[in-house]
Amino acid sequence: MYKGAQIITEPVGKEGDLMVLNWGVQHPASGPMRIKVWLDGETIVKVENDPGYVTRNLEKMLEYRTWENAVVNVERICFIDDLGTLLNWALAVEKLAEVEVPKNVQYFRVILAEVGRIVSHLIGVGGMFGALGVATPMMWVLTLREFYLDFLEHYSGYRISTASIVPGGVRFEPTKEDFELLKKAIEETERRWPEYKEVFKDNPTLVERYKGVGVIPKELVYKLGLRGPVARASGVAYDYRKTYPYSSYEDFDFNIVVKEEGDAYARFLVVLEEIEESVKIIKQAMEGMPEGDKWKVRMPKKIKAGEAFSAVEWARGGIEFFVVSDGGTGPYRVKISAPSFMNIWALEYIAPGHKLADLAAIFASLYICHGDLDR
Amino acid sequence: MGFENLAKLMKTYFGVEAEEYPQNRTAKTYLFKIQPEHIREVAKLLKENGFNFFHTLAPVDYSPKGRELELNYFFENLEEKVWVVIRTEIPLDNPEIDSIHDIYPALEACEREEWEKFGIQFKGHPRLKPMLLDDTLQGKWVQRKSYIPKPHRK
Amino acid sequence: MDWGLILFKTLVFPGITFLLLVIFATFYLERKLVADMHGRTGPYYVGPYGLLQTVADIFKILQKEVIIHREADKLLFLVVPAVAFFMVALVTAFIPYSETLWIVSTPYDLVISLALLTSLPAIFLFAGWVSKSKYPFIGGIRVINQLISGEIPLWLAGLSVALWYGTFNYIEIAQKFDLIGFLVNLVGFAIFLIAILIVADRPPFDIPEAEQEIVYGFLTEYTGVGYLLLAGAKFLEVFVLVAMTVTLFLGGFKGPFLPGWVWFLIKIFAVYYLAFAIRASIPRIRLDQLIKFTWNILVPLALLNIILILVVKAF
Repeated sequence: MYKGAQIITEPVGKEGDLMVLNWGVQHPASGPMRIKVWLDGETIVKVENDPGYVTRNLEKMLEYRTWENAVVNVERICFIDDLGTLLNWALAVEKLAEVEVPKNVQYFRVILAEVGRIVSHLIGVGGMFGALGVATPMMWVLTLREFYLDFLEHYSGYRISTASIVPGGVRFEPTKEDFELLKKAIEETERRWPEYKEVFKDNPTLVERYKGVGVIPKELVYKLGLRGPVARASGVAYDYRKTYPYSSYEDFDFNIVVKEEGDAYARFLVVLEEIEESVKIIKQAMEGMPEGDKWKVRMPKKIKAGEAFSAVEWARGGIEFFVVSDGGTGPYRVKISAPSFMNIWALEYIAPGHKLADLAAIFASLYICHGDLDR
Repeated sequence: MGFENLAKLMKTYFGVEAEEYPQNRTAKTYLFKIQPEHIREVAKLLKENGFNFFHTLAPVDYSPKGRELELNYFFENLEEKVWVVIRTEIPLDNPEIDSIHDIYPALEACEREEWEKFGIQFKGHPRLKPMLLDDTLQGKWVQRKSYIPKPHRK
Repeated sequence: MDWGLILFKTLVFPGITFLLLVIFATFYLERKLVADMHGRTGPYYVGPYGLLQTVADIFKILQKEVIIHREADKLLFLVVPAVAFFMVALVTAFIPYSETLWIVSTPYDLVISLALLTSLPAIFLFAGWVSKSKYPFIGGIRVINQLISGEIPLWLAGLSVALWYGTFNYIEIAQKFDLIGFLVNLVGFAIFLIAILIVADRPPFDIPEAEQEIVYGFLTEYTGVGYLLLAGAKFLEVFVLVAMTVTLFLGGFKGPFLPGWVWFLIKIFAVYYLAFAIRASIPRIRLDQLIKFTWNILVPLALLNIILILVVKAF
């Protein structure tokens, strides 16, 4: 059945008149991933993805964990926004154990998840500029991101990989200082955002480079099951927060950002404008935080046999967990369905016909996280 | 069109009833347990009835429990907001099933991943070649229960 | 002729030592100023104000092993950086730092400098070619793209100045500089500024060494001394082009109160600052967009500018 490991032996030099370029693994813009590019001069003829350089096989690792300490693996799906995946894990396990968490926990989880989204989207915006060789926006957004990381650090003790959302609630009780730090971050965002937005959004060279590049038509979204900002930039108004609300998202007033163009610029705008919506949600959640001093519900050590499916809108799209329990202290099987893993294959469809210079732009605009892609 | 039509057709063609699937926390979901050889016809039926969005393919190895390899396909009808789980079971010693990547292109990568991790032979798949895992793990079908990784912990 | 003076000029100022200093200084300034625009501190720990950071980096690069690609042409691979550095260093000889501080002055300064600068892309193409590697090769080909888009506006804008002042000699041009000359050549100044960014591969026109696309262009395979010489050549090329801009359009060493070379360096710093600000704010444009821009806008504008200058000069 299996005939030994297939080590890549075919020549990676040229094919006929085409030059075959290894865009990655060691490349400034590719991240730990190889993209094989067939080039005709400067024009891309064909593209083939080759992920798998940071695979940890988290699905297998999770089978050796207990329900609660699985969070350390789950949050490492992608460190940039760990809170979304933690929330999904908590929801899936609570579904299995048939536990309901109090309203104040749900609200606070929303706050954490949105902070994670902002932190991730800020890096995303900077990265999309970085792909065009200008580092200033990245530095600016990193400065802004620090305020949110300060909040996370004060709350959980860690800046990234906070392990703060656990099945049954949140790990720590939020204090007054936590909320003050978060308020400060929000104020700082609102103070700087008009300037940032003006600089980022109307940057003529960025528009020139991104507009009309890497267009993903609506049909391709359905065809490839694309998720998240990529799908929303192509006119598919699909957002788990609105479509299938969870964790009290139905209480908040926010819009899902949808663009019709489907090009790289639309994806950039979706990511940029979602930050504002997240700020809106955090403000509402902080104001309307219900009374309650119970921050963690008691979870059973062993959860009865069964299965659960859960999905949340994470920074990079909908992340889905299929969790099976056999009545033990840990999961029997977890399937992680990652948005980046679905989105990356759009590259093979949209990149051909563009210039090599556009590959970096398209790749950055697809908003891939490599940890999420390989798991 | 839609779920009701699908349920009717599934009953007439394959004799399977739609079961409620409350385990999906996200959305209203129905479960169909089908025979593995029907997967292509079922996929075509799903496509015709508006289930145009593929979510995920989740195989579960139940061999320690005395069962075989279970495959769960999650599809969604975006207009009706109805999800469908197609469940089928294939033998673990000869895991073979028809590929439906041409009906749902989103499945191409998913099938490739599950081939790599479970060793499921998706018949008709164009590029079942290593993708995610390291060369040393190829062919060990790491996600099966029979594969026990060496622990790092002391 | 005083041989001692000539030796001092070639070896110390404005010769080799000064050129090395220029490389250090521009590198340091670029880091510090761009860091300021980023909202960072930049070099800080090594030396006062991080002044010695660049020195440390350069010595680090010098320690690196010289790796030559298996299929590369060894001799050419090693010779090309030296040739590139030598050619740029040659052009610096023509720069007049003040009325007396220069190494060479001929009636054809401008033409010679432009000719030497125009032959540089060929060397860079060669650097990419002899590396026998794909990213350097693409980088080398892209250098030719820069050549056909950047050099023609550069020549046209440069020659328009020569037309106005009626000479190719830098010193005479700088001496004849006045307000009317500045105003008349303002369009030429803008074209020349854009053209030097293109020719010197400065952002947003750093297409041949676009990091996110082709790693480092023709420099990718170079390490150690070879890399240092090539990178130094690039830095000096920018310096030469900026010095040419200052001499041609901003009056060079001309200015009240202060000595000529101080004015010259102040003006050079101003133009550098502009280049750094552009680097920190404008994303890189694409190769085909560059060609469209230069041939649809820049070249026609430069030709019109020459006509304008001829008309103004006639009256």
